[in-house]
Order: sequence, then structure tokens, then C-alpha cells
Amino acid sequence: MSLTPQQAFKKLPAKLHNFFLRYPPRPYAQYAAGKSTIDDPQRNPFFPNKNTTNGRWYDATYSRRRSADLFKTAYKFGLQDLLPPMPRKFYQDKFDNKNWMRGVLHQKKQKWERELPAKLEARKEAIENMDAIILEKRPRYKRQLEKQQQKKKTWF
Amino acid sequence: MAKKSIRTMVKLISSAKTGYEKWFNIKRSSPDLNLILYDPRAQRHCLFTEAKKRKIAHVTPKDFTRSHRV
Repeated sequence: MSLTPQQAFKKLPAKLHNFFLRYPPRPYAQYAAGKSTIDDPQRNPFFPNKNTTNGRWYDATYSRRRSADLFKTAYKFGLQDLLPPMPRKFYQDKFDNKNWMRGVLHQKKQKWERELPAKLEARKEAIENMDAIILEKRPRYKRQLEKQQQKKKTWF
Repeated sequence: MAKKSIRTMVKLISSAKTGYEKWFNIKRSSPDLNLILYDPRAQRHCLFTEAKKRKIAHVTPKDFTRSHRV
């Protein structure tokens, strides 16, 4: 025997049930997508809202912990889309679109790590131009180079 | 302070910028040392120059021409 929507709703966990009583799902009520004012009838309980008279921000009615709890319970019943928009991401959405911290994406690294590429580049360049460097101080090294060229063995 | 000895230790550093260095005990009056030695990190012979500047008494080269004579 299948349940009617009303019966199914009564069977939801208490937290979720009470939440939907206070904040009806999307087709029946609209919610702001983000932060709003306290006077706004469509204010979102998961976001902080501003009091325009004294200019103060008021914390979200549901903390991050509680909002996560609500989402995960709703997800179990497949009702996660009925909740108002949340500042948080979960599961697949989080895996795909995670907000990484700036320091994680653009790592500062240690000083030696930053300087290392330039150091290795300079070393490589010095080794390549070594003959020229030696010739500057020892012009007679030219003779050595010529001897090396003569002695050079090829495969053919 | 002790009296300066005739000889001094100098560090020769590879111009291949590998950080390979060699130490020599030379006469204090000898000119700046630069040698061509093997650098195992670069795997070839490289120019080694002194790492630090040191005071060398400048010697005027002997003049064997007779320009000083009348």
C-alpha cells in the first residue's frame, strides 16, 4: 500500500519535518539566492542577513553544521532540491566545483623552491658556455679545444 | 692578533655554478688564482676562480726596454 504525500511528509525525520513547516519548499515559497535584508520576506535562513536600520549583519538562522545536517537528511529522501539555496556544496557538486583556498591553488612555496628553476637554468647555461668562459681567462685554451676536435671519434 | 703567515688558504669555486669548490694553500703574494679543473657535478673541466677578493701587493712588471735610459 502506497503513502499519500501528506502521510509521507508526516513520516519525515523531525528536524526536516519542522524545517519544512517553517520554510515551505520552493514551489510554495521563494527564497533569495544569497544574503539579503532582515525585512525581506524572501530572506534565506541559511545566509546572514542585514538589518538596514542599524547596519548590522545577523547570523544565519541555521548554522553551517545544522544546514549540512538538514541537507544530508533531505538527500537521503531525495528532497535536497526542495530546500532553499545553500552557501555550501555537498557530494558530487562539491567534488566537481569545490572552492579551493587561494593558498592551495597558488602555493607560495619556500624561498628555495621559488628560486630553484632560475638557479638550474643559470647552471645549465654556464655549462653550455663553459668553453667561452674559459677562453676569456685563458686564451691559450683554444689550442686545447682544437686538439679535442682532432681527437674526436665518430662512429663512421 | 697573530702575525700574518706567508701562506693563505683560498677557496676556488666552479664557474659552472654547481657549488663545487676546491681549497688551496697558496702564497699570500701570488696573484689571483684561476685553474681549469674537473667538476664532477658538471661532469667536465671547468674554470675555477677565487671566491673571495684578497689583498695582493701590486708588483709593477719589470721593464726590459731601454725607455728609461737617456
